[in-house]
Formats: sequence, structure tokens, C-alpha cells
Amino acid sequence: MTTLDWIVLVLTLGGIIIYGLYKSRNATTVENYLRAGRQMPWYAMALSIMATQASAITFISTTGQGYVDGMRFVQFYFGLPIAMILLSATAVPIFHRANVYTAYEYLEQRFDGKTRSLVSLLFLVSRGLGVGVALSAPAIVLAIIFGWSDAVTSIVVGTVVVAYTAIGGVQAVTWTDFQQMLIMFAGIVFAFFLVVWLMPADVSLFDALTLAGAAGRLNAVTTTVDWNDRYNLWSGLLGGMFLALAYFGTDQSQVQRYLQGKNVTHSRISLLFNGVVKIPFQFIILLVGALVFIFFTFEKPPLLFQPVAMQAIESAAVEQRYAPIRDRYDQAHASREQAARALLDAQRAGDDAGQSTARERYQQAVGEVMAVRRDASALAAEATGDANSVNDTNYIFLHFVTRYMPAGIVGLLMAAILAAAMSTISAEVNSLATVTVIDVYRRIKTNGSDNHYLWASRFFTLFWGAYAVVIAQYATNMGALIEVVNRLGSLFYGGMLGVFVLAFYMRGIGSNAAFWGVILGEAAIFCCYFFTGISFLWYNVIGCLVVVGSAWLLRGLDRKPALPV
Amino acid sequence: MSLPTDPAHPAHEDPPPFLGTWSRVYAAVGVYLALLILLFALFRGVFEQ
Repeated sequence: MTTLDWIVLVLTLGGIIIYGLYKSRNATTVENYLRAGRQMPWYAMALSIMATQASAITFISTTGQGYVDGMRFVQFYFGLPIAMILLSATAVPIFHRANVYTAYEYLEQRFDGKTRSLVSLLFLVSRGLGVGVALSAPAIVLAIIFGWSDAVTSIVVGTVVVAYTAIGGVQAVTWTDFQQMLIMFAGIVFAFFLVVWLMPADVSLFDALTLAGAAGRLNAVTTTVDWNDRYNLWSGLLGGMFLALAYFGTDQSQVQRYLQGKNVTHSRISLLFNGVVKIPFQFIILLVGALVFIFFTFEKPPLLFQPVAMQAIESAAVEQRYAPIRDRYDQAHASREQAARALLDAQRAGDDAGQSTARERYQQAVGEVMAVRRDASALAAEATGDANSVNDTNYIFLHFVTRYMPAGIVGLLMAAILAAAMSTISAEVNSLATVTVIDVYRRIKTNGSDNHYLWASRFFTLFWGAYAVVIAQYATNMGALIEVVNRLGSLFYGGMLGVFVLAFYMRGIGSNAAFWGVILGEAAIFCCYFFTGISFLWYNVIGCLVVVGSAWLLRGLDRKPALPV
Repeated sequence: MSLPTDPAHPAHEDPPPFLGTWSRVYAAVGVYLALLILLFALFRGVFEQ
């Protein structure tokens, strides 16, 4: 990075943090610190919701996914608007009426203390693991950019985030999220225009899209019914909806965003805004990835984008096996560029038969480049002795940004990536502290003053921040842990979603049935995890259905009539 | 017995700032989703032919 990039990066992030702290200067009571005095406008909540969901690794790897796999990942978000409608119609007015700090506090009003404790515990376990990974994931990548060690990067990012979160509470989190999301929007729009601008002079945007389409990179809608295919229209609408319902309806890191709303209307609009804007946002990120793929058709990229993997295959130990792969790659890249130009020439000439032949040649050349890259990845995995260490997808966009973007814009895009990391971590640490104070500590120490609980909230923010930094140290050394923790997270969402479905929609279900329903739902999910090969994306659906079904069967356990919804 | 409410922040159903009723707003979001999917499918179709 140049000096100008550093200036842009530091001024952007520093300005955001100062602005967030300024906006949170009245965080001197628990109400203001944890719930912003319920005065937050819809636009701040809306962008905070989006910023919390967009982590650095999502920002980086989604573009990489567009490069490697095309745009079909966008379908994963098709269920999101439906979930936003359902939550706006049900959860938002219920939470507002219940006047709660956390989603789990409502469960005690609706059921009883033990159900609240159980679900709070599920949240603390799953989100506690998640926050460490959220901190470690960008550190792995940014360590390469800044040249710092993984540990130093996660400590620096963690310290900055925890400092402003502990000082300003939810208001600092929300207002920094608001600015950080604007930086992310600006960053991806700049990236889109610059990748188009950097194409060869004779390749227009239409040409680039034609090539991307021919290479199968514009597959934004796939209607094939395949239960093993994670991203298609049906899994997006159904699986995506359940996941979004669980995440936005039961995870305190999101619920806390819209609990700060001035009223039901503001909270509803913030959620619906997310439902409307999220899909086009993801579409543009993926499109940038697809266009970077076309850019590298005319500009030769490295065989592997991850520097460590590249060094491994160039090492003396595997040099003899690397040489033929390198030669194949040189040839395959040249053939791909030649075929791409032939396709564009045929299209410009209006030669249908020529287009068809050129398209086929181009697709074969694209396939050959991908095959060589796979062989190189396998060799790198062998050379490093760790199959999980080669995750090239996360490094594609970073390589493009740092090598080809003009000075200043690199700093802005690095600020966008760091902003994505910080917004997620701050919201998660803030929500963990809130649940610890409201759902655990305040129930043990019942006679504390408002000031006591305010300082307890600050203390637990520091505690969870330190915990995240410690977990991140282990996570950076265990590549597969990211996937493991994602799977672990999905082990808990089904049970949490199920109990909120009972609370919101099934008036006849009482506390004991709900409690045992959650236990059985979680048991079912763990059985699926240990004894079946069912994809973890379906755990939310299975867990939710088992909680609801078993609670209905056990409804006789409650002699007293259930409380109204 | 009903759940406690916060008198400073009543949870009554204010109308949305546009389209008159919440049902219409939800319907608009649903239609928007359908149009978006259709647009993406067209986008793919145009450049993949």
C-alpha cells in the first residue's frame, strides 16, 4: 500500500470511529447504552443490520466466489425478503410490546425463566465461538496485505473495535455500522467501475458480460431441483428463508439492531430495507468477481492467488512436478485469451456459426485453466502438508485490488474490507455483553443500581472482546475451524427458531412443553450431525420442526394455561 | 394476563409512510422479489445464449 492508501485508510476508519463515539456521547444509562433509548431512526438500523451481516471474509470471498463459481450464490438470499416480511409482521410488534432488551428476555415473559436461560446459553455458546472466527478470518487475509502476523492483526483490530464498543455501547456500534456500510457500498461501486475501466480498450462491458456468460459466470438463477446443490432457486427460497428467520429473528446480534427503533414502524422499515437492498448488493459483489474473471482472461494472473500456496509449489521440493503444470497453465491461458477474442470477433461480425464454434472453444479453454488450477492447488496442499491451507478463493479480489487499483482506491477498498470486519465484530461483542448482563448477571445480582449495570455492561464487552481475541489466535492456526464453527452455529439455530415459533404462533404451548421441545429439537440436530450425512443447511428446518412437533405432543405437561402471545 | 407494555413506546400499528397499509408494503416487497428473480433469469439468458 502507498502512503496515500494509508492516509485514506486511517482517515476513513478513524473518522468513522470518532463519529460513532460522538453520536453515543449520551450512553450514560443502561437504557441508552444497550438500547439507544429506543430513539434510533430506521436508516441507521437498516444499514447496521446489513453491516452486521456483511463480514470481511464475506466481502472478500464473495467476489472470489463470483470468479470461481459464478453468480449462483446470490440465490442464497432469495428467502431473505420473505423472512423480513414475516418478522416485520410478527416479531417486531411483539418485541416492542414486550419492551425487552434481548430476544430471550421475552421468552421468560412468554414461557418461564428456565426456557430463557436455556436459549440464552445456546446463543452465548454459538455466538461466542462465532465472534472469535469473525475476528480471525480477516486477520488471516489482512496479515498478507499489511505484512503483520495473524496474531498482531487480530489484536489490533480487536482492540480498536472493543474500545469503541465498550465506550459507546449500542449507539457507537450502530452509528459506526451505518458509516461502515456506506464505505462498503462506495467500495464495491468503485470496484465495479474500475474493473470495467481496466479491461482492454477493445473490450466493452457488453463484451465482458458476453464472455462471462459464455464461461458460466452469470448463473444468477438456476432452477434445477437438486438437494445436493446448495445454491439454486428452491434452496434459496426455502433454506435461505429459514436461515434468515433464525438469524434475524432469534440472534441477539441482529435483534438488538431493530430493538433500538423509535417505534414499530421504524423497526419494520429497517428490516424491509434490508430485504430489498441485500440481494442487489450481493449481486453487484458477485458481478465484480465475474468481471475480475474476465479481466484475468486478458491479463495473466498467477497460477494460484494465495502467496503461501504459490511459494509452496515453486519450492525446490516439488519443483519437478510444478514445471509441467506451469507449462500447461501458460498454454491454457494463451488459448483462453485467443478463444475469447475469436468469440468477440465472431459476435461483432454477426457470424452465428463462427460464434457457436468460438464459444465452444472458449468454454473448453476455461475448463482447461480451471483444471490446471485444481492440479496446482492439489500440489500446494501436498507441499504444505495441509489441504485446508489452500483457500485460493479468498485471495483473488485482494490480489486484483492491490496489484491493479490506483493509489487511494486501494486504501478505500481496504477500509471497506476492514469496516466489514469491524461492523460484524462490534455488533457480536455488544450483543454477547447485553445477553450476559440482562439474561444472566442481572438475574443473579438483582439489587444493583443502573450505574452498576452500565459498568457491568462495559466490563462484559471487554470480557467478550478479550475472549474473541484469544479464540482468534487458535482459529488462525486451524483453517478448517472456520467451517467447523459455521457448522456448529447451525447446530443451534434450529432449536432457537423453533422456540420463537412456539412463542409467536402457538398460544396453547406452555413453558414445560417449550423447554423440552428445545431439548428434543437440539437432540435431533445433534443426531443428524453425528449419525447422518444431511447437509447442515437443513438443520435449521429439522430442528425447528422437531421443537414445534415435540412441544405440541408434550403440551399436556403444562397444567396452567399458557400465557398469551 | 397480558405482556407488560412500555407506555413511552406504544406498540400500536402505525400506518407505513407509503402505500397506506402494511399488507400493501409486504405485497410490494413480494412483487419486487419476483421481479428481481425474473430480471436475473433474463440477465443470464441474454448473455448465456
